[in-house]
Amino acid sequence: MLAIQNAAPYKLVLPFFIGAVIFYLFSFINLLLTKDILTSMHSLEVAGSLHLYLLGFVMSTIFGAVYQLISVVLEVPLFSKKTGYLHMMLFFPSMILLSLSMIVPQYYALGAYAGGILYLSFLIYAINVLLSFKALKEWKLISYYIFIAHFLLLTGVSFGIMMLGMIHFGWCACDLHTMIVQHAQFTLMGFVFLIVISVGTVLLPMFMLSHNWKENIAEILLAVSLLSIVISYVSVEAGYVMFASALLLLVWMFYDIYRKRVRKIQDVYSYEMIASMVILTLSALGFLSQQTEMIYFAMALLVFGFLSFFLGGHFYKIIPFLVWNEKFAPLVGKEKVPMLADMVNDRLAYIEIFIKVIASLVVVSGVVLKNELVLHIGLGIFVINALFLVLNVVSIFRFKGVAQ
Amino acid sequence: MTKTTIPVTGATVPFTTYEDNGLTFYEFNTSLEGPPAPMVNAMSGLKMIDSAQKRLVMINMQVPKGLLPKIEADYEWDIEEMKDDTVKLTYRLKGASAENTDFASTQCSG
Repeated sequence: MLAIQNAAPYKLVLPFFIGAVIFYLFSFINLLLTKDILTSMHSLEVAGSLHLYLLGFVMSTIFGAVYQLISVVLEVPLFSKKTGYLHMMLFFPSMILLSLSMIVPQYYALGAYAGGILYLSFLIYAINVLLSFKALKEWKLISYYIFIAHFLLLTGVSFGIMMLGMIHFGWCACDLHTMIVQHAQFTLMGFVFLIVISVGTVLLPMFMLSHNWKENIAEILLAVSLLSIVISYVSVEAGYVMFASALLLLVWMFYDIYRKRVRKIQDVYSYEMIASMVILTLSALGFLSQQTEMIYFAMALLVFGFLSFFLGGHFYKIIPFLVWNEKFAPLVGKEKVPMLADMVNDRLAYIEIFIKVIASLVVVSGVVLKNELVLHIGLGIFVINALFLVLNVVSIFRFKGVAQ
Repeated sequence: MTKTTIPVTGATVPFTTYEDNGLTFYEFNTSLEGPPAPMVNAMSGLKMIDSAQKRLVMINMQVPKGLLPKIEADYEWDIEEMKDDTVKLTYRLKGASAENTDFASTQCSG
């Protein structure tokens, strides 16, 4: 069946990417305004800020990417496009309200209800994606990745709703800390990590024009990633070592794709991917150290460093791609149409990357030095970085087309 | 066999033409181009294949899986794997004209 006929509509995919860019900006503004982050890392306010970033920026990007790519990588249509719209309509308001309920004490009571609706939106999304597998003709490695990832998501968000029930309604007397760890493990180290790998195996070779990279690394990576979750139940330390191994395998896979690219030129995308590889390596070293502070450092690097570079880099490919399909595809064969690279303002993009590198270094320094001022300066630089990203995305939408 | 560069409406890479065995070939290379260039150039080139004596040769990084179902009603093709890991597709008309192909269907699936 034709991938393009199966493709999720522009109106379903694009809002998730636009939302991701907007919440990338808002979550850093919010973090900048959050006081005493380092001394109150386990506070509800910091948790709310993290949720705004992880749900608003990270999950939104992933939802958009999965809806866009499911027809390409699985060669099946999304089970229900209408359900996709329902997911979108439930996800954005509930995600904002849940984050607000943690950040603003006056909205605290809203948390249970917002969390319930958000949980429902995750259920709808994951079941919709999983039902799409009914039409699958051939199980490939990426099919296993996406299938398992969505089960991990369902498990992770179930821990999340149980925590909310426990806090707001006293559902059970479970250990909150254990549940937070499991919630984070299944959603971040499970779902987000597996989706990043699986999407990476498709998009990196496609955008870098890479041939004959070692696909068996991705096979080993799936086993190691899942083992890291299982082993952490037996020994947290062994779980960290296993997860660090998964990160290093991912670096190896990225590097193999990178070195086998046909066209040996550097562009905005390749610089973002190089930065992602460096950050993954540093983060792996942090997990291997087994020291609590270095683990925090490694997690901060992964969440704010790696994800901002890896997902941000893909904005410069996927958003122009979506806009191109809508705006310029009808002109093919009639006049000279622009290519994706023409639609990105390179100067703005390089400034954005440069600012992001500085912001990451300053934020990491703030965490390592336990210096709140340095951390907030870094977050302020991240806000400037996000403004440049917004500017560039606006310029992609405003692009009217020029001869190459 | 002399290859001559020709202008092709909508193309983003150079096209050449040459004669061989009484057939006219049009050729382009998108093996160093990412999406949507392969689809854009193939759709632009296919419009020129309007008789049984014409062929379109596409050198690409991989078989363009998104493109082929769009054109299979009117065109057939041979696929040859090249030594440099690229693929060479040679398209020809099945019938007298490409009446079933929607040249306006140019969205790219990646």
